[in-house]
Amino acid sequence: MLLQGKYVTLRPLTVDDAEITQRWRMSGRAFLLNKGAQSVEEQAAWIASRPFDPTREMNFVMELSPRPSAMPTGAVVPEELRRVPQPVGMISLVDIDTTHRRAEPAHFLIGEPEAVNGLPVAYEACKLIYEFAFDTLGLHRLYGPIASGNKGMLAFHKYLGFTVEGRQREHYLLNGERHDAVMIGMLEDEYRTIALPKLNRLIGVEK
Amino acid sequence: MISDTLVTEIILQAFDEVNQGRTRVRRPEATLLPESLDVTLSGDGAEVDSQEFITIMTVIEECLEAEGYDLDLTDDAATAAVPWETGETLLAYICERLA
Repeated sequence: MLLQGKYVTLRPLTVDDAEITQRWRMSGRAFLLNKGAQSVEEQAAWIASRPFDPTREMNFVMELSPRPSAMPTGAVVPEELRRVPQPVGMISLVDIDTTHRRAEPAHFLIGEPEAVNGLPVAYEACKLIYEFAFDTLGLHRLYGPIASGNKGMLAFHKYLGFTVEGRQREHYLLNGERHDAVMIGMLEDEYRTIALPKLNRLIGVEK
Repeated sequence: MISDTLVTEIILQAFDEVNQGRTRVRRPEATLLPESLDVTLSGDGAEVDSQEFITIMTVIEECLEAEGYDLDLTDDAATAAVPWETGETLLAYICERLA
């Protein structure tokens, strides 16, 4: 199953992705995420243990789409290059609850920032996940916690239409420091009236 | 009418917030943005990622609001004008919108 955008494709995370995703998780950009696997073997075991089930949990790898706009006019892109997608990050939808029609977007990480600078990959990946959640799965609400020290991630989600719904004080111990869990959420109508138009504009921004 | 000087200060404050974020997440290998409006914000050669771009827009909008100006930097008018190429183009756009 693929979620196809203009700039990025989301495809299921597999055990073959253990090495690259573990490297991403150990990078500075993941400093304020929950501590993940400490070795490729642990990461492979974690991936193998996860379901890919629209009623439970779905973990995706973001793959950069080919950039026709970056090619000179008339350029012929070799077939082998067109078929070598570049993994640049990951994103998930977890704790999918079809009774209460809610889920948590999670594991959102751009692992290859240099490859996506200037491209709206992060926005499009979020849009694809939100579209899938609200339009395909028929969910009513997305929610999740963000460590209070992760100001950039918090600002990112608030800008996209998430509302801060509360705080769990000193919920995380990350690298020796206590952080609150800032609880954010977005309802379906907020997605359609706030997030989707903003995402569409932002996807236009970084062309 | 808002002054160029004030808007410049606000944009540089937003860049400083990005630099604090880079330092906070221990990216010693990452270069910090210069204290200059000559920073590419989008397109080829962009010096900020998507999350940092949003941080810049958020800080600028919040600072403008604190000064009594209400401006959405990703609304339809901004999308049509495409002012996000550099700090300089953003400065010109904000001053024009708030003139």
